[in-house]
Amino acid sequence: MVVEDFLPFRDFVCNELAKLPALQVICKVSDGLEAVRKAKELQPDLILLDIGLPTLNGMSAAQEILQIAPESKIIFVTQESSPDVVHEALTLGARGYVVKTRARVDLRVAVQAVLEGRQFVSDGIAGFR
Amino acid sequence: MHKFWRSAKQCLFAGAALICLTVVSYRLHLNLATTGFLYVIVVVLLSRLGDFVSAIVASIVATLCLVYLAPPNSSFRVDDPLNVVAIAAFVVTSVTIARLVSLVRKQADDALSSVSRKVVEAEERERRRLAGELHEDIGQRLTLLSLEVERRKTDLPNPGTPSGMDPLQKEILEILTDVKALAHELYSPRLDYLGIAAVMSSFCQEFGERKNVMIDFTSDGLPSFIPPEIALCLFRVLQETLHNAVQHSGTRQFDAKLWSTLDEIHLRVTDCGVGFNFEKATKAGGLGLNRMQERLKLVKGKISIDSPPLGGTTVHARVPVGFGTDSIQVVG
Repeated sequence: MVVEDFLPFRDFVCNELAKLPALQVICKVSDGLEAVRKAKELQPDLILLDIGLPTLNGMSAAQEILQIAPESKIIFVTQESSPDVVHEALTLGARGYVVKTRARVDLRVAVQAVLEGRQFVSDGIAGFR
Repeated sequence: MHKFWRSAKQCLFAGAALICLTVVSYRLHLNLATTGFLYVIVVVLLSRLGDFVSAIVASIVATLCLVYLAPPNSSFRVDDPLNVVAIAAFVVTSVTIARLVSLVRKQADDALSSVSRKVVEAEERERRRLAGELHEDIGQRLTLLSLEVERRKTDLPNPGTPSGMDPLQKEILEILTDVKALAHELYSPRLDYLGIAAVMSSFCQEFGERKNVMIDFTSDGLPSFIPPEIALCLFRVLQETLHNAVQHSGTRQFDAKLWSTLDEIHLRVTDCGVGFNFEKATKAGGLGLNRMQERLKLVKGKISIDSPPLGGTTVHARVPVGFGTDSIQVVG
């Protein structure tokens, strides 16, 4: 499932995911509350989640999703690159953190790493890797 | 307690003013009506400057002065029923005037506070809107542009080797960093999901890098939940104070500390700069001091500024927590 409110970027993410044959995008949504509702309904294996979302921010949405769809693995794909935000995201239970400016290089690597059970954080964030 | 002492001081002041007036009336041989009229003026002035309790006390003191201290040739004789009615009329008139003036004052204060609140709410709404535009639109477009440049770099004959695209991408990323910093300064969505201490710490780091100054931020013993309106208010005070300090202090080293006591949250920003004249700056309406004071008033907070000449500046804001605050509603 892809949760992103800026449509050109959502298309970019979907195009990148389409390059991974094992994956199928089953749902695209553009706000936090809708993401929680769809996660409950579809129980997706993987959720790519932005933080700056309308109605409910990505962090709060992730918190709720992890309660109602505990098997879903969450990767944040966001513009935020502050170590505090990354730390908070991983503490919440996210498996991966991709900074959007590095998405072309990192997105597919992050997805594969998380699906294999490893954690992934984009390069260049102080205090991580 | 502070209010009690203020009232007590006003009562003493009123008593002294009425006794002085009595002496003057005595010396000038003023008649009873003139003296009574002057007493009413004192009561009205006190109602305007002080509170209702001190105005009532002044009314009672004025009545006693009329009965016992006013010039003997014009004092009331309290055994005369007509005089008792006149005294009662004086008391009722002065109490009514005191009540009316205090009511008008309260309504004016409420109106002012309501206007301040609306101005703050409107300002926050606008900041949030602009930050959203910058972050979610321009920021995202710059991100996509950078990703597109990166894609084109891979299409070059020798991908991976330095090319003219590199400085272009670097420039885009620098603009993106500035846009994000500006957006965060206008409104930081991190306040919605990170604690106030983490948000302030990030801000101090980013702001310090941008302005090329050192800001040492520390926090200590904060409660797990701080009402959003208090967090936002203290964050704005930190921003405004650091902007002022960087611009006017003449130094490049600043300390900011956020901590809590049993019932208050404190924010203190200090520097070792040249200091400034607080009275002058407030009257000039500059440095955003009035705005900080108004914002703090809305969450029942206070600010104190200590800035001796060449002795650095300490700005200390404190906001009570645990008591009801008039929350600022910001609808995005």
